[in-house]
Amino acid sequence: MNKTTAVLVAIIVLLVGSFAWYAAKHPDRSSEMRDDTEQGVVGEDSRHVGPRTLNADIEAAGLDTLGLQVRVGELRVTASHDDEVHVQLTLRPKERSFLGFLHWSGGLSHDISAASIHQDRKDKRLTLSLDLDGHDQDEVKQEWDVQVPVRLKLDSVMNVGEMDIADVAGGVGAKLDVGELEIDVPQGSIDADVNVGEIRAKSASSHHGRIQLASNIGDATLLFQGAESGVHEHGGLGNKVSMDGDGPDSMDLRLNIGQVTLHLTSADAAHKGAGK
Amino acid sequence: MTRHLIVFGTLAAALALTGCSVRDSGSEPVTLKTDIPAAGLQFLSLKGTAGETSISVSPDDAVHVTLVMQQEERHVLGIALSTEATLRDTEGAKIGQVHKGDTLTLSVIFPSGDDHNSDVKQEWTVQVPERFGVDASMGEGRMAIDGVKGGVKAQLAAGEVVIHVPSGAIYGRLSAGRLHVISDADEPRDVTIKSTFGLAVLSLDGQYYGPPPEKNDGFLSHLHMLGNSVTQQGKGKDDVDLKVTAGLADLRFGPLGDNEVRRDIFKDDKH
Repeated sequence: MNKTTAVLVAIIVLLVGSFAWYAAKHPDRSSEMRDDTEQGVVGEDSRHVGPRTLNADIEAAGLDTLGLQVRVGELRVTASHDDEVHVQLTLRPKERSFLGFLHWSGGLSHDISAASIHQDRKDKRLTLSLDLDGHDQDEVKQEWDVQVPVRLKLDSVMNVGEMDIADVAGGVGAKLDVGELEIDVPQGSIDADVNVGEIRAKSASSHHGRIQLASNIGDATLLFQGAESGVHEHGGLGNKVSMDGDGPDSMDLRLNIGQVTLHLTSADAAHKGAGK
Repeated sequence: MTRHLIVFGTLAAALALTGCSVRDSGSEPVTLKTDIPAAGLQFLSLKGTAGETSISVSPDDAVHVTLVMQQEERHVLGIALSTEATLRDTEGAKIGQVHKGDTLTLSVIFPSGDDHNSDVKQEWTVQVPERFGVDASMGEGRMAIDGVKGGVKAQLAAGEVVIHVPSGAIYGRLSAGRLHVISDADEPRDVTIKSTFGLAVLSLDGQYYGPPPEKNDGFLSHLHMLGNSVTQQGKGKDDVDLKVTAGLADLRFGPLGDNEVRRDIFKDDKH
């Protein structure tokens, strides 16, 4: 190897090393994208910084509504065995890559170490969210596992990810920008709003009120015990399905683009809704 | 006696074939054409069966439709046969038009009322004004949608869907095959791409989002047996929702990156 080649090799090594160092210290935020890839380059669990789990048990006496605010990740809500809200929140720094081989973590360990569950209690409403001490929440994937007294109304808001809400009987409000929303409740009203993705809802209510499903671009399907029902209206590229009812459990499920399905499983509801 | 039975059997078989109203192979394709003024219209809804659908931009403010129907031949003892009833139905078919609000719905109407899902191949070539939104669904085959700005809703049971639009929301569903989508808009708003058994990938302004390719760069590296999903949020106006049960779903916004991962997948397939 002559002197010129050696110098060139040294320069290349220096440039690659500098780039790798820079990339590790400066994750790409230029387009302010938030991602939630389930598998693969962008969304794999951290290889450099381990997950951190936060827990909270909160008395629900005097409350009638639980609010949850999540940026990117997963939210799973089930019934609590007592009159407390039990929260387990796992945080994972998201990983980014360049050319499929150079990986670095978006959320650094000090971001996660500063995290806590923020509780905002106003009147009869408790709202929970992640407090990351001012750090960028989009660099951290949040996995919420929340147990709720079934009497409470749930009011959840999420930017990107998956929401899975089960057992809540006091009513469900759910808003999601992009992702999948799954609801399976014994009774109560449902107000769901997803911009892009899918809504799969199931209610065992036997006292439904007005039911409205709408997808601006996509399909809307109302099922009574497996059979399609409701009044269908096609407009543009979308669909709407509606059904009247005189019970207290109104259900309004809306999508901008995607599929929405509501399955009413109560035989009593099917009887009342038939032909309306 | 045996000879008489053979002769009688042969004659009976010949008569039976004649009685079935069959023709020799060579049934000619039937072509229907129509031009529809598009004033007041904003959406096209088209429901095809097996075959091909191509939807592109019209040079004027009209919808131009060409439908070629070809009876699928049935083979008996190596001889291609066509049923007389299907041929009559194909020759008597018309393009059905329903105007409802700002939506034009197209379908093929056969005199018998049958839909001939299984025995007539349909090739639709439709041109619509650029402002249109398109809602197209088919059974099996190939669907290509090009150039429209008013949004796309495409559904196919099996085969290939190719969409290339300058802008607009896109909703795609495919049971098995490939869903290949390109938008020339700079950036999307909300995007979700999912393949239950297969691969879902996104190219956004030259950057790849999706599972890393296998280290072995051979043929097997393109196989991805377990599914994945990709979700992104941007600052654009257009939302995209693509889902494939088994196969490949790929979406590109912006130009290809020079060294982009899985670059070949995102190329513009000329159709």
